[in-house]
Amino acid sequence: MKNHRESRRQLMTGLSTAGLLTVLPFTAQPVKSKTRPNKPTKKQTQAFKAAPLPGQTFAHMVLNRLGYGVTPGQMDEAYFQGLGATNADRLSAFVNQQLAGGNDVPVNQRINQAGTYETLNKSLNELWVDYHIDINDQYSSSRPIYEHMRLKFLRSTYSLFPLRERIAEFWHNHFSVYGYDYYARSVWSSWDRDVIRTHMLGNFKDFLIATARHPAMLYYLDNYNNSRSEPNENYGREMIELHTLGVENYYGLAQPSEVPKVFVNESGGAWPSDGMIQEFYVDNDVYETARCLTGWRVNDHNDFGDTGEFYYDSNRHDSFGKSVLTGGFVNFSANQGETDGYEVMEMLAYHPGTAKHIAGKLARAFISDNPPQQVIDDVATVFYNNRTASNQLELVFKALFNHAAFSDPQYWQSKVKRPFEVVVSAMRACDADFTIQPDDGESNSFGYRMDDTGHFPYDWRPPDGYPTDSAFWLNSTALVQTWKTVDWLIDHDSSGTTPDPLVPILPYVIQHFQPLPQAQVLPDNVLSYWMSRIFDQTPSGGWVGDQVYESIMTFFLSRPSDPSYPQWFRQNYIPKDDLFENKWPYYWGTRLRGAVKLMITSPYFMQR
Amino acid sequence: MSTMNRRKFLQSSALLAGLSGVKISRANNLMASSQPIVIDLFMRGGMDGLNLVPPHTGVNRSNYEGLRPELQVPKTGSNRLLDLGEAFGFHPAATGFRDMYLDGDLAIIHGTGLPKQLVTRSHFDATKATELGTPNSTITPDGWLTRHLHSSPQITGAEVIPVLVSSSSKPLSLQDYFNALTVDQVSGYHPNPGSYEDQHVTAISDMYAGTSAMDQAVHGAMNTLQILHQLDLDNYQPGGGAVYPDNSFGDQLQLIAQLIKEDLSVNVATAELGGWDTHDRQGDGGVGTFSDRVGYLSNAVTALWKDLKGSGLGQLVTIVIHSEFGRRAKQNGGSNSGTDHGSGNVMLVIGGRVNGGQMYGEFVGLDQSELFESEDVSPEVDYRQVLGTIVKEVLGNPHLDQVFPGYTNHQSMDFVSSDLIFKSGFE
Repeated sequence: MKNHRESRRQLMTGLSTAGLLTVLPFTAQPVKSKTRPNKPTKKQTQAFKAAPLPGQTFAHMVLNRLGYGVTPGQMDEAYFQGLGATNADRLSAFVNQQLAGGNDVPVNQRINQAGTYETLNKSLNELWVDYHIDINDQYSSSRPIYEHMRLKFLRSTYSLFPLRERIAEFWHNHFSVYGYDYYARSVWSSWDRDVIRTHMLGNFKDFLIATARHPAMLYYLDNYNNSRSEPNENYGREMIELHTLGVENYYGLAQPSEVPKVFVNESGGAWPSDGMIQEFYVDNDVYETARCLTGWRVNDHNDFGDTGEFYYDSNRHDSFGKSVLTGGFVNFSANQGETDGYEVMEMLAYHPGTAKHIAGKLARAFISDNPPQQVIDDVATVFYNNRTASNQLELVFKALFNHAAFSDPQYWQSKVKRPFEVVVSAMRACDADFTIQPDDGESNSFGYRMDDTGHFPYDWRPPDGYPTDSAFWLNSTALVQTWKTVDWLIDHDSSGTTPDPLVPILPYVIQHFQPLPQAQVLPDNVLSYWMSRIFDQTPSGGWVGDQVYESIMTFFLSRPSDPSYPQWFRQNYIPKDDLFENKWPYYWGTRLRGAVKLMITSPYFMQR
Repeated sequence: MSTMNRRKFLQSSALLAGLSGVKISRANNLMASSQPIVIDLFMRGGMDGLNLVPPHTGVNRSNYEGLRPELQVPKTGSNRLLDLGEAFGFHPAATGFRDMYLDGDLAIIHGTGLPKQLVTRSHFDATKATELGTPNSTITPDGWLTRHLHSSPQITGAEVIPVLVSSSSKPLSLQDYFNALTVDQVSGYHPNPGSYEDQHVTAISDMYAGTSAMDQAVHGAMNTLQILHQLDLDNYQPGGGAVYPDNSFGDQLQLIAQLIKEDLSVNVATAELGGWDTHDRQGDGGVGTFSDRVGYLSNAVTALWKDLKGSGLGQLVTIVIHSEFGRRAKQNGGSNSGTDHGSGNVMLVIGGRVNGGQMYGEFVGLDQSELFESEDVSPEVDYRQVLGTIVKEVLGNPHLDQVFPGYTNHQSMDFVSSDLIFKSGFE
């Protein structure tokens, strides 16, 4: 079978000694004609949707898609009903209130109580000095990202403005930077605060420029290393491909002159005087954009002061003329210096293709994996028409959330919650008291488990951000590790002689059933109480007979492991002492926690 | 409908176990599959192929020593390069690779990479281009392995676990593939520790009783856990006297071998190893960071191959080791330096069907004029030519146009034994 080996080896050695090709040339094989027809590529076309929560209320839908679910007693049906006279009014009021933000009292209280968050208020320069210059080990220099990876849980679980958290999450993924990247890890508090949160409801062009000038992005996508002598197009490419026009506007392998043009009503800067620009981009536009950005680097050298801030290095800038999106005509004059960068970002940010790209991403993130074209077009129009407005993105989000497609029931519960959302919305629904924070054993234990889900905030390495596509998250690792994380949350310190649960399951049952007559402590009453708590609603005929509910009931009534005890009869009340003290042999407290975990594991909870 | 297959598998194996205590596995020839298996091992960060397989003799050697005065693998001393009787040798930490090479099981392909006009020194782009299998587009919706699985006539649809990912998330090469078993831990799922675990899992299955993709994914996950539960993972006896190194990569590869040996019809398995982005402190004189990484890789892969070969599966299995790009030929500084992102690189292919013990590809040379863009080992061989040879001749999938759309004029690398059934393309 390997009879050719010797001769080949001799041949190879011979060639290499001769200093020619060291290795073999290929032997051409005749390509035979195919006799089988090509199988078409199979595509996943089936809807992924499992059983939806029956009779989902409008409030529940809004809180699940525009927040991290229901928070009983704080952000729930009753709260939502108080926002206006009609669903449309209430939705609009909710969005306005959320986008306006305000003093986030519970978040600030928990941060202060924890006392372990030390990097949040430092300026970019302070972060640079404290964690980049003065420190050499990777562990300490990562303090800012380490804090933010935990802060994201704290904020999302306890914020009064969860919609703002969702929007920050969206933009963090749009301008995705890997949190532990060399510069990013030390300056994350500035990246999150000065770039993402400062601009997330503002003007997109200003936002883009802020990302381009920040050391986190400059380093992550290599623009710090982009110079006229050694151009690095990594950032120029991603700026077009991911941040602005999107690959949907890539015209393929073509020359600029071959690309169709559109008229845009712009003037000044690098805009062509006739207003005609390429409708799509080609590779040459990537190269030319990268040239516009040469010399944009980080002030990370003693000679300049080593401040960690943006630094424009004219010695590294390519000062010749450039052409971007003009079909090949030079629209950037020579010797413009730093201005090249701002002008090219204006062209990209104001391009109609960018409006469509961002609108599509928003609709897929907040409405459905396959949203109707109308909402994309309408949101794109708002994006485009307000491209110079200082509150452009606020208007865009309002247009998206108040759009008829958002309220159309056919798109409700049409996305799978990502692991982060499942965990945070479970903590909210169960009223968890758990300040996830740095330097804390319980937070560490939580973190190890969360890490296994593959969806820890800011831990995505490539520049395209965590996928929002539901299909990506339908794998055994994401599902099971998420449920394991929820199991840990619910079980942690929940038993033993001095339980101190993070999630008070039994305490709520005691509070509710203690005053009631013993005869009312029936399995159905206990489970229905929790179903209604978790889902913030009760079907008109009650939960009995509901498939998910009955599956959980079967579990709840299981025969104990001690074979001398029978399966519990559904009609029998549960002795209060047995339930409240988790007594042998039925261990009702354990069953109860298991039942709540199953509610969270159910399709009613896993879809939004 | 693979979840049905998994369910059937579970039923049948439970039945068999109940009746006779017999464990289903390839080893006892019950339902033995003869489908070829590819194990794709991706080295993240840009593995320095020039130091993994450095020049041994000739002008390449002297150029190499000139380019890497502090980083070179020496020809003498206790850390000298491993002699293969060739113009190139192996890094001293790659003793396992050396042995496989001399046994005729491992082929070295030098000078591989992205097509020259599409070379990128960006990790992201190069990784995407490589794993998606479309060097001219980094936004292709599916990966090359996905397209292989969807187009291969060898895949019947009856596989229990056609794809095994031995890490926490799927690689881009399997993007848009939904039926992979993804395992990074085999600790399983034990809800309510010690209490009502089975009832809990049953309840989950009952809540997802529909036919949607979400229902299927949950059933797949539950079945996966049951399969893992059934396997006696703790008392695994590797074949061929193989000893897996006690580290996470060793564990990952052992799990691959273990699941291949169960008759679950695994067709594709993947794992990855990072730590190759050696910009500085790469190590010199055959020791240091890079050397540790090579040993880590070589020892684990050697155990995997020994195990599978020793279990009689050598003819079915092909292992590919590759990275997104090689590194610059010249070291980037002095004695504590490393190498920056480059392009041309080494690929290793191991398997019973591989004409191993020899080198393939095209190594143009290390003279300034021979280096790609005056910097890199020249990527003369499109990596798709290597993978395409495996796909077509080992895996028996003639549809290269679907696996690698846009890739034309494929020529066999000719490293597959000529006595194989798939060679001529299946008439």
